[in-house]
Parts: sequence; C-alpha cells; structure tokens
Amino acid sequence: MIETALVELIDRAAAECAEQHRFDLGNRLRQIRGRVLDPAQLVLVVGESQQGKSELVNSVVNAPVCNAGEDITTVVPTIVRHSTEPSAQLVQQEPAQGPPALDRRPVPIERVHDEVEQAVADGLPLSRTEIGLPRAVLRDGLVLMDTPGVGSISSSLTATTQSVLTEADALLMVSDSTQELTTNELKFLKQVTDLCPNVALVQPKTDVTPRWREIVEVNRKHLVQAEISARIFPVSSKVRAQATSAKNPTLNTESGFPALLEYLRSEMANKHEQLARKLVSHNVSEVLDQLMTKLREELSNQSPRTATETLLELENAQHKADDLKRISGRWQKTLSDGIQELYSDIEYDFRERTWAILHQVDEVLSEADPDTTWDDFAEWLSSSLNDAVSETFGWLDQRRERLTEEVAEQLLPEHARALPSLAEIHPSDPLERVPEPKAPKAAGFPRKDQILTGLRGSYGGVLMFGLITSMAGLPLMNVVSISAGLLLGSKSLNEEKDSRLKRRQAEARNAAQRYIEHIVFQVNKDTRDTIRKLHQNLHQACNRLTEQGQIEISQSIQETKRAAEASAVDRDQRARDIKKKLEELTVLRKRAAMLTSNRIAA
Amino acid sequence: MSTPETRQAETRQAEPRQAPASLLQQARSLLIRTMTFYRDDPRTAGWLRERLERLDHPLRIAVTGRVKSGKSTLINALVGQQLAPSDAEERTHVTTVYQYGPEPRITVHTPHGATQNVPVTALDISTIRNLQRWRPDEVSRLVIEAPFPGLQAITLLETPGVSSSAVTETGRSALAQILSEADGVIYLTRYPHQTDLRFLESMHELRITRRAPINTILAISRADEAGSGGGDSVPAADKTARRYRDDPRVRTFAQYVLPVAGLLGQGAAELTTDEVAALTELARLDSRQLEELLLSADRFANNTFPETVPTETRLRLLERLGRFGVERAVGLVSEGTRELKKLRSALLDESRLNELHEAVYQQFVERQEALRARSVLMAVDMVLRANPRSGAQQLNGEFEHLLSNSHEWDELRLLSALRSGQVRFDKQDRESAERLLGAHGNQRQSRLGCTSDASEATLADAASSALTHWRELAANPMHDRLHHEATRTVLRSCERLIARQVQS
Repeated sequence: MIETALVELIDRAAAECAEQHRFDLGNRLRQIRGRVLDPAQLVLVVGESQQGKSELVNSVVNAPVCNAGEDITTVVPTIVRHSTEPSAQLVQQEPAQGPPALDRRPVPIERVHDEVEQAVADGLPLSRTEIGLPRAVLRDGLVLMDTPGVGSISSSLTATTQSVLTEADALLMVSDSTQELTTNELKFLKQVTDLCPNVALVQPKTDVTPRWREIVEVNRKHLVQAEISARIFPVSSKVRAQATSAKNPTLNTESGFPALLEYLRSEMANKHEQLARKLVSHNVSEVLDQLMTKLREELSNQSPRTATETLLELENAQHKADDLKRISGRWQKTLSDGIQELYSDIEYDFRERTWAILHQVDEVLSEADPDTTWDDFAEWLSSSLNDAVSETFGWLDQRRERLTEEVAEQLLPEHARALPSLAEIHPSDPLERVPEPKAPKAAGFPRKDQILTGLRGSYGGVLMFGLITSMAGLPLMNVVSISAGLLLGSKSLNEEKDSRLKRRQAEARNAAQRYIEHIVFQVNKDTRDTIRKLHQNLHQACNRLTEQGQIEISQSIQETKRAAEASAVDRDQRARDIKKKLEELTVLRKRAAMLTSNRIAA
Repeated sequence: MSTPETRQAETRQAEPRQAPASLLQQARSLLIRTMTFYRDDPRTAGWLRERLERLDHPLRIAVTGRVKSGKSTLINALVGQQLAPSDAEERTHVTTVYQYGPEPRITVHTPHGATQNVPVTALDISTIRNLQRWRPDEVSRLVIEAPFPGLQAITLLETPGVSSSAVTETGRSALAQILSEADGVIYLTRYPHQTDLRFLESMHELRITRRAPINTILAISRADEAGSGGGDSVPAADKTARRYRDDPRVRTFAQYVLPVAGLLGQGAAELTTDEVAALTELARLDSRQLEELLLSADRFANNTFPETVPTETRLRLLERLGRFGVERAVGLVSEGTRELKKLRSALLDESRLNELHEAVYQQFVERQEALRARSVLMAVDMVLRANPRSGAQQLNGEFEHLLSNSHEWDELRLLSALRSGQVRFDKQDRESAERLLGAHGNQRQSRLGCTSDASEATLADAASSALTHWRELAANPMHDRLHHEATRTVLRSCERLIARQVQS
C-alpha cells in the first residue's frame, strides 16, 4: 500500500523533527499525515474578495450553499462534502489548549446563512460551516472549501484562510475575467504554492466581458513569469445556472464548468494517490530541507565561534592580571606613604600637646609654692597628660580609618569590599609605667635658723648704725641702732625665705619636666608600635586580596584552556553526529523526492 | 440636476463676490513672497512659479487607484470624450495629464527635464496608448491638451495603478509626489483592500493634510462587475460603499465613497441613434430569447439571431456599455425609454456617474479655493522644509499662521469630525451645522438652507436666526471642550455669512 509507505516516511521525518526540537514542523507533518489517511480530497477555493469564489462553489455543486454576491459575504470557511442527505453544521473553533471540544451544531440547510450570521453576531468562535450534499461530483471524496477573501480590509480573514491552507490537497485560485492577475494576487499565489503545490487558476465571470480570452493569455504569461505551474479554467456561473435550468449540454460546455469538473475528477479525485504523494513529497522535502539547513548552519558556525570565544576569554584574563599588578604597586605606595606621614604627624602632634602642658607647668610653678600645692599640681599634671595621650590616640584612630579608605580606593572594587576592618586603636596608658614625679624636698625653715638669720641681719645693722651714732657721742646700743638692727634683721629673714621658695619651685619644675619627657618617650614608643602594627595588618590584608585575585585569574585561565581543549573534543563528536544525521536526512530527502517520480518502493 | 459645465460656470461667476481677502489670496501672497525669497535659486523659484501659474489654470484632480480599476474609463466619462485609452491589460505606466488647450497637443516630459512635442493634428488614442507604454525611466509624464469643454474647469492627472509593477519600479514616493501636485484625488478601487487604505492613509500623514484633510473621493469602480457580475452588482457595490462610508478609518480622509460604473457612463454619453435603433430591435425579442442572448458576452457577440443587428454593432455596444449596460439599456428601452436623450440620462443614472459628478462638484469645484490654498501651502511647506536657510523663519511663521488661523480649514475639519462621529450633535443641530459649514454647497443660499432664488431679506432672516440659535448653543455649559470649539466654529461661519451679506 502506498499509504503505509507515505505514512512511514512522514513518521520518520516527524521523529527527526522531534529530535531537533522543531515541533512546529512536526505539527505540520502531523496535519499532512491526517490528510493522507483521510480519503477525502480537500480542495480550497481561494482568492481576493468579490471575485466570485462562493459563486464558483455554488455552481460546482449546483446549489446556493455559499452566501454569494453582496459585500464581504464569506466570513467563516464553508466546507461542502458528500452526504446522502442534504445537511448543514456549524463547527466551533477548537480551544487553543485542552482536549478538542469540537462543538457541532446541526442547522437546517436552507437557513444556514442566517444561522451563520446570527452566530457571528453572537460572537461564537466559528471555525467553519460544513455542508453535506448528495452530488455525484462529490461522491469520490471531493471536498470543496470556500474561504474568506484574501487581502480585504480586515486582516483576520486572511489569517483564517492561511491557517486552512496546509490541510488542502489542492487549491483553486479565483481571479475574475475582468482583470488580469495583480501583483498582490501573484504574490499570494507564490506564497500558497509553497504550502500546497497543487494549484489551478479559475477565471469566473467570462459572461461579463467579451475580452476574457485576452485575460486568460495575459494570466498565462504572468504565471509562467512567476514560475507557477497551474492550469487556467475560464468559467461562467451564470451560463452554468442557465444550462442546468434549461438542461442544455451545449450551454453547459460553454460555461466552462465541465472542463473544471473533469479536472477536479481526474486530476484530484482519481489521482488522490498522486496528490498524496505530491503533498507528502513536497512537505517532507521542505521540512527536511529546513532541518538540514539548520544542522549545516550549526556545523559551519561551530568551530570558529568557540575558538574566538576562548581567545577572548584568555585575553580577558590577561587583562585582569595586568590590572591586578598595576593595582598592587599602587596600593603599596599609598600605604607606605601614609604610614610615613602618620609617624611624623603623630609624633609632632603629641609633642605639641606636651609643650602646651609644659608651658602651663612653668606658669603655675612660677607663682605657686610647690610645698603647699604639690598634690593638687601633680593631680592636674597627670590628668592633662592623660587627656593629651587619649586625644592623640583618638586622632591616630581617625587617621587609621582614613588610611584604610585611601588604600581601599586603590584596590579593585570587589577587593575593597572584602578588606577587613582593622581593630580600633586603644590609647595606651603610659602614666602607669612612669614613676610619678617626686615632690621637691620640703626643707622647712626651722625657727632657730630663722632667729639666726634674723640675728645675723640685726647684728650687722646694730653695729653699723651704733658706730655711726657713737661718733655723735651716743653709746653703741642706742635707739637708732637697735631699730636699724631690727629692720635689717627682718629684711634678711625675708630674703632668705624667698630664696628658699625659688629653689623649691625650680626643683618642682625640673621634676615635672623630667616626668613629661618620660611620658613623651613612652607615648612615642607606643604610637610607633601601634602604627607599625597597623602597617603590617593593612599590608597583610591587601596582599592577601591581591594574591587571591591572582590565583583566581590563573585558575580561570587554566580552566579556559582546559575547556577549549575539551570543547574541541566535544565539537568533533558533535560534528561527526551532525554529519551522520545529515547523511540520514539526505537519504530520507531522496526518498521523499522520489515520491513524485513514481519510483518509491515500500 | 444641472450639468457640471453650467455649474462650474456658475462658480466662476460667483467666485469674486464671495471671496473677501480670502484664504487663497493670502496663500497666493505667501507663495509669491516665498518665490521672491528663493529668487537666487532658479530651480526652486521655477518650481514655485509653476505652482503660481497653476492657480490661474483649472483645478487639478488626480485619478488614481488600483491597477485595472477603470481610471482611464472614468477619465473618459468625466471628460465626456474618448481620450484616455483603456485596454484589458495593465498598461498605464506613465503619469498622464489631461488639460484644456485650444489645439490638440501632446508633450512628452523625460525624467531629465527635457520636453518634446509630438506632432499631432488630431488626438489619436493609439498614439497616446503607444506613448503610455513607454517605461517610466524613459518618459516621466505625458501632457495631453485637448479642446474639450469637459476639461475647461478641471485638469485630470492619470497615474499608474497602485500596486502595479510600474509603481514598484518608480516607487511609492513618486506616486505620492504626483498626488501632492493635485488639488483633489479620486481614488478608484474595485474593492477597498488593505493596501488601498494603507496607501491613502500614508498620503494623509503630512502636517498640512492633518489640518485640512478632505480632498479625496473613494470610488468603488466597475460596480457593474462586482460580486457575481449579475444584475444585482450595482446594489451590492452600493452596500459596500455604504459600509466603508461609515468606517472610521476611511472617514478620516474621504467623505464620499461611491460606487461607479464608468464604462456604462462613458458609453451612455456617446450613445448614437444607430445604437439606440439596435437596442430597440433587441427589445422587441421576447424575454426568454433575450435572456438567452444576453447570457454571456460571447453569446451576444457571436449570435446572428436577430439579423437586424449586425455583429459590428453588437461588439460596439458591448465595448461601449458592457454586458450589464446592454442588459440595462435593453430593459430601459422595452420599458418605453426610446429617445436618445432620455436613454442617455437614464443610463447615466444607472452608472452612478452623476453622483460622482455631483461629488466632484461639491467636494472639489465648490471648494476649489480651500483646495488650491491647501496645494499652495503644501508647496510652500515642501520648499521651506527642503531648502531651509536663514531668514526663512518669518515665512515659516506666516505659513503656520495661515495654517492654523484660517476658518476654512476649521470648517472642513469640523465637517469631517461631524461625519466621522468625533463631534456629535443631535440630528437637527447636526444637519444645520453641516449646512452652515457648507456641506451642501458653498453658496450663501445653500449654507442657509434657502432656495437659490431666495430674496436678500429671507437670507438675512435665516442668517440671523441661525446666529441666535448657535449663540445659544455656544453658551451651553454642558459641552466639553471639543463640542464647545465646534459650536464656536459654526458660530463663526454664521457671523461670516452675515458679514458677507453686509458687504453685498
């Protein structure tokens, strides 16, 4: 059986489609398969609006089954097939998903136009009208389908027509005799012959003009030019109607219909096998061609693309490595500069603060008596030093943050985010490690010393003034000399007291200075330690990041290389597969092509 | 119904009276100033001068449309003479201008700007046919002058068909350019397809055409061959036309959608007594014989049955009237219309050519001022945009001013808005508004809805009552902005009518 061979061919092609994930092509083949197994031969009547398509169908079956004449009459396709009793059905559209719930509604055949109009007005999604007629023409399984006009004002009608095109065994293109084929019609014809290769051109309305023969000639020329092989049938529905009513065979011949019917009968009805072959061969060949083009494309595109990709990736990695090198130089310089600056700044800062304190110490000690105020003084000194130390460390902490930021700026953004935040710097407590300043020795001024000093002073005075007054005849010890002795005695006592205070103050100042120097030394050491640690930490963190980056890059380079090597292997495998597949498809394609030349073996 | 010629004559008389400092005059002065501005550019200036000269020539109407839609036939019907050759094959590849001239003359323009006179003594169709078959790169246009009265009021431009192979060669823009030269466009198609509508829409994309849209008549041509080509073809075409008239897409560029059977109209105009005699002979046959005879064109031509009608006459009848026409003519004769004149006018009615004439008259000839102004402004716009140079701002400003401040545009636009349903009044107001805006004719009388012989006093009454009515409507606070503007436009038309009255 030829059908089995055809179906097998279709199935194999469909399997290939599924393998290539081309389900659209698979669906098309499935439709064709259904058509091959269906004994009916679907003949589509297509053409632009107002050309007389419906009239043609009516004339073929001799019944006004299609709405003809006014305006856009055909909205849904009408299918006319054989049945023992005249019948009509409205078929609703299949839902896009889910099971095919075809809703068929039988309607009385004489009211079919009104029913269709009503249904369309009600917004029912009609897919087609099916009409059955007991006509000899249709008995052999011929099914005529009247389609909505192509290219009229609403584009949905065109879409409807195109969707039924793939189902068709053959096409009757209708273009009336008053006009040659237009560019649009030719374009349409060219388009539909791709989907359905069996085409005939019908030229109705030969009754209207005496010039229809010229039009036939022109159309023939057009078809040859467009490389469309189609026979032309000039017909006249009006003459045919007259012939049927008058039972006049000459008139019938004149109408041109017998030739058309003969064509339908012989070319289509009896040559269903050939039609099916043609259809299958055409569709399968085209599907296979599409698959093969796709595969060939893959084959030709494959190698150069991956190679360039690898190259690009490598180049990319190289770029990254260079970047990293440049960056690490940059951050190292920033870091060392920052640290140097930090050393000098911090030292200077603390020195400045201590100098301010020293200044104050001088001022205070030039007035106060350390003997009485020492405790207060010592307390003040340590507290102000404490403040200075903590302020300096606070500033150091701020500088640390800024330096970290500066270094982070020099890094790659992704690395900067990964930079760990360093521990906050805590102010050291150098005061504890430094012995407290000693209070100047509280050398008291004992009473007997005071008396002695007083006496030393008053003795000189008495002697001096007694000698002077003795010259005046007064005794050595007189009122004047004694008072002068008292005066000078008290003066020398005071002077002695003063000089003792001065000495104490100088001592205290010395002690404070030493103390502060000591503190400065300690603090300097502490800050230097802190800064060194900071330097180390930052350097380590950045170094780790950079090294990580470098490792990543080298890894990616290696991976790319490995992948390139591996894909070369895969590619060869794939290329071999494709080549094999292509060979298979070519064999299949040859079989499909042979269908038309009648040499198929099952 | 008066013939177009007499009507055109009327308009020409009426023109100076009803045009005080009109739009056209303003447009003309703008054109002259633009020309002066570009006087150092001979090409542009020459082009503009041509436009200026055209203002004194008849209105230019382009006849365009689908391939084989009967453009040539319609031109013949409009001219009333066999002038444009019509064949069964697609053939017009060259734009042809048919204009009035005292002597028959054919001028060929080549694409390089050269012109050449073809020596003719009388216009011969086969000569024109040969010339039209030249390729578009050899001949850019053909100008045919003929001393026919039908060409005195209008000049006709015939273009190659849209979607014909010739158009794809020269490109759509070339066709659009030809159409931009025309003051009005009659677009012919046997059935409005998407390509037609797209083409017409693309023509109306210019700024100026949005402002003044209506210069197109859409004709469903070859109405006698529509559908199955039987006796009910013209009514079917009528139905199609009605449907498209209500289509909002079509309404934006065409108010008139008419079916027309050009062949029948042309044939009717040229009907001879011989042919009437032949038709009378045919009408004598009994109905069954007649039906058989007229079944197809072939049968009619090749039958020798009523020997009184020779084959040549039959062929001529078919050629002239078409099968549908012959059928109708025989029907009319047997119903008793035997005189040549009556038969002619009856057949003209059948062909709907009268309606087309009417539409051409109302749409184009009556509005020629606005249409000419439109063409002038379009030319100025094109020049200003193609050759921008410093100092053109003032001209541009004047152009904008003229474009946006002219009441004529407002009237035309409101009319199309009313017809497209953008602006809705109740039925009575709508009719009155359409009338006042000049939908039924630009004459004062027709605008006010009076008979043409109405006295000045009646006209004044009508005008003032219309003014009062629309003033009331304009004050209605329920209107939205669009309707408010619409009433203001009608009101302004009323005021202008009264102003005109005062002047006269």
